[in-house]
Amino acid sequence: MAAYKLVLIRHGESCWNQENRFCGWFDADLSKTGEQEAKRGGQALKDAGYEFDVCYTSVLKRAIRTLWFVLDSIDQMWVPVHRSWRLNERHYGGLTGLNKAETAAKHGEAQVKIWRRSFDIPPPSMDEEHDFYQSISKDRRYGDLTEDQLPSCESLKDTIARALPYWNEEIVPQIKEGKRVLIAAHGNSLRGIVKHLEGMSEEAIMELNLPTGIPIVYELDKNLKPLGPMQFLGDEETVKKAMEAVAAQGKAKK
Amino acid sequence: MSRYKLFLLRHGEGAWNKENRFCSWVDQKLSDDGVKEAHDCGKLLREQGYKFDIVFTSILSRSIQTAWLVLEAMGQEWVPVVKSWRLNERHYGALIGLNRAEMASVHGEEKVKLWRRSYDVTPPPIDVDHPYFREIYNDRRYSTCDVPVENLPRAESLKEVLDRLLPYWNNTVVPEIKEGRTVLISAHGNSCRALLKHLEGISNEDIAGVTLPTGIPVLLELDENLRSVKPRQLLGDQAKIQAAIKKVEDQGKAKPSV
Repeated sequence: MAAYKLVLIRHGESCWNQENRFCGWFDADLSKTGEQEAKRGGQALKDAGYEFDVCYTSVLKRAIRTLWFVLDSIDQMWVPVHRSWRLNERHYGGLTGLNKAETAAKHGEAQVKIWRRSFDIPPPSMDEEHDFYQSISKDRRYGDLTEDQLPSCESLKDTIARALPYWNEEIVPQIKEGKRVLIAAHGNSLRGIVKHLEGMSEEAIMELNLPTGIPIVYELDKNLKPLGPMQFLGDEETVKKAMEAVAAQGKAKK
Repeated sequence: MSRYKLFLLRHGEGAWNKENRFCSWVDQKLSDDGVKEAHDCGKLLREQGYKFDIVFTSILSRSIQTAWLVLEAMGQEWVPVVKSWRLNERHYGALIGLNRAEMASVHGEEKVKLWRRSYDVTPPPIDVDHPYFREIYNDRRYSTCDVPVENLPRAESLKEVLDRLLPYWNNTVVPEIKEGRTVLISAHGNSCRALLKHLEGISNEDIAGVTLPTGIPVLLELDENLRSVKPRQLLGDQAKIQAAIKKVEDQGKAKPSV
């Protein structure tokens, strides 16, 4: 018997995804496709009659706007929303803004492979010379972060390490009070939560790419252990595709 | 001495505004025009370089939608948005859903004038038989308020709006302002008016003559006791502001059909 239900949603395509650029903490907006994905996700939640008591998101607009589209679709715009940098996407450091070709050209294929395959090796730091240093590191929204907290780059391990305290200290208590929670965030911050919930290994979580714009539902027992695998909400076709895509990931040769 | 800045915004057109019906606690979203009003407001605030630290709204969708559109236009989606029923529009009781013509024909011109113009006369309460009663009180949001749903208003005078707004202003909004945070309150015609009355020290008689245009940001400058130190400023293009003021005044004048 599920004591609790938790819903996660990963935002859809951003303007930079379209260009295949490392986005990270750059505050890219949703593309038109990404907006459609969010609306579709909202519709799926509406069709399934989901109600929420509290929502969490990052301080990046692509996640926040996704949440707004969802809340609008399900007519729950009044539900409290909490935003935190701790749910931000992984910080790609010096790679921020580069596309795949540029990255390979700048750092070499071998190095890129290492970064992609590694759980705990961070990309190069974003230094003051970087095009996006001012607009990211000096942005007003990060004004309250200490020097130790504000990253200049992150490995997946780092991302998870700063996301989990927020999960444990802010979100878990709400779930345990019986509040129905929706989290709208990013591929890597959500990986942190999923890895923790399912007790996945580092290798396993690196293989997992969560589908975008599709509500992901966990039924949890009273100790917040999932009672089964994550479920996707949507029309039959969408759900089937998402499940197949996830299943294929583990097998894909890189 | 001006110490703090505060921004108020009355949301733009909702579907019922077009029909001149009292929307009040019925939850309507913005019309396309209302969306544009919010977007334009955000654009203006962005051009003038304003930066918000926190936004307060009611729990009615149209004020929240307005806040979201403004923040989007400003690229400040990350700013916290805090919602409370205490910023809701005035509760019009039994008059909810009626348009101004219907009201006059059902209750008489004099009564309607009294309810709209007086400070402390409460309209007749909404009761269980009212077409919108269940839509309002069965809505889950009203079971999440800091007052049990059975104790929420069934009708309000403007005075009663201020009575339920003021504790929120004092306990929740003021501390933010005193921390030096730039606050935007995205709310409704009457909740904004009630707050203005308090901040500007407007008399019970004079408040009847005060209306805020929709979609125009209002800048207040407050002293350390959070009282207004200069006349409120409506921001933006003067022609646009005048048009917005006229629009609201014309609505108020709508003649009942014979």
